[in-house]
Amino acid sequence: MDRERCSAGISLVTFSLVSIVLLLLPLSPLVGTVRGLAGAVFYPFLRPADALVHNSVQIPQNARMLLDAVDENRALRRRNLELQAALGQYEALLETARRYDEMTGSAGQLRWSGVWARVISAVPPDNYSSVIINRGAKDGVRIKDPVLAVYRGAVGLAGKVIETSSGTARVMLVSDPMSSVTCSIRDRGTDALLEGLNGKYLRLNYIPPDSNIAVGDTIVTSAVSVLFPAGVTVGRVVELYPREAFMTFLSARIEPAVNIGGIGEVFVLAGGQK
Amino acid sequence: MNFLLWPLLFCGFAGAHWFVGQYCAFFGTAPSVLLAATVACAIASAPAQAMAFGFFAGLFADFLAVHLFGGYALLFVITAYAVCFAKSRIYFETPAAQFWLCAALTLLCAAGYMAESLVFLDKPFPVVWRTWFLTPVYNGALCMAAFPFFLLFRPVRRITSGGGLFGR
Repeated sequence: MDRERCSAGISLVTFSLVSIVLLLLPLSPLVGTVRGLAGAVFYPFLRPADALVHNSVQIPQNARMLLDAVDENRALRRRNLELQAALGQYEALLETARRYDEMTGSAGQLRWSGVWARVISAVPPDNYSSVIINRGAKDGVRIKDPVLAVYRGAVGLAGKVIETSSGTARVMLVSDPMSSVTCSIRDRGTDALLEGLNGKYLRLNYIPPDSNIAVGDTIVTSAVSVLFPAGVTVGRVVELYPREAFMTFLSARIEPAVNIGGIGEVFVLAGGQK
Repeated sequence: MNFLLWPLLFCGFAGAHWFVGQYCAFFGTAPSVLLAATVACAIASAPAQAMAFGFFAGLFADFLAVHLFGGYALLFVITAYAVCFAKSRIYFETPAAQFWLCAALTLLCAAGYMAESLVFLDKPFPVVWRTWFLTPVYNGALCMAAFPFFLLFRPVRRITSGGGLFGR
């Protein structure tokens, strides 16, 4: 006990003296050293502690913001998907409306009855050969029915139905190499045979040399055609092939009246009306 | 083991003192964690340890203040000594006794600090009225909370001896 009392007294005196010295000589080198030493000990802890506390205080707020951001992100992603789907539908509707507008603008030229159909399959490289439409036998579509299309406000020949099912039909396009259509050169009264080249252009064969055909002439379906109604625009002459010496007829390159490779909507003349 | 625990405990209370003063001011005033810890240390520990703890705690409090470097150190050392002296006559190891002891010593320390400033700076530091009323309550509560930490350092024999620094 005495030892403890002694040490207590020594401690009291020592610490008190040091404190009083510090108080008495605030500007002395000793106090400056002590302050500097205390600063060297405490400062390194204060700054990180302040940074730690400052950042820790914001943790709940940041966590809440992060959770909110995650929820918002999920909602926005969902919304984005919905909007993308809606946009796709909207674009499809817009395109369809545009085509219908084109068709409506040329309604006077559609003097036939039939069914409108949408192309549901036109996969390259066969898109110049045939397409599949969403109308079939139950809609009155039959084999050999003529198929028209509208392009830039004008009606043009697209092809003919070669295959039907209940709800779909396959259309052979005029650009198919196996396709042939009896046509005439408008205002010249001369018939010729239109054949496909499986490409952007068609070929008009068997043109009589005395037909006076010229570039820019319009080609329409002939009145003698078995399948197609007369007077349907088929295309326009863009080039006359040189006549070979041994041949008795002319040939011409024809630009189709419709965009064969990009047909979206077609009009099927139900019952093969002429 | 104590050589490791004492610095850790001191750093913990010093950090708590800084944190409470920095971020947990209630009604415009903050408790002095270091004073409460010094009182609790003096109740639970040996006098030399309590005074050493009080001295360094006061030094840290002085370091956080601007003027009177050494003022809190002197006050805390005297406080620790006073508690060590008083605990041989009064039983302070109940929470209520610790609360009232610490509250009273807080008031005395505030008065002592004003006296120090009057002596060493020639003018007393004004103390707002909230400090007189609220800080003792805060410190009393903190002293009750800090006391169990210092029991870690007390030898088992001191628990059963019941004797204080100066004996009964």
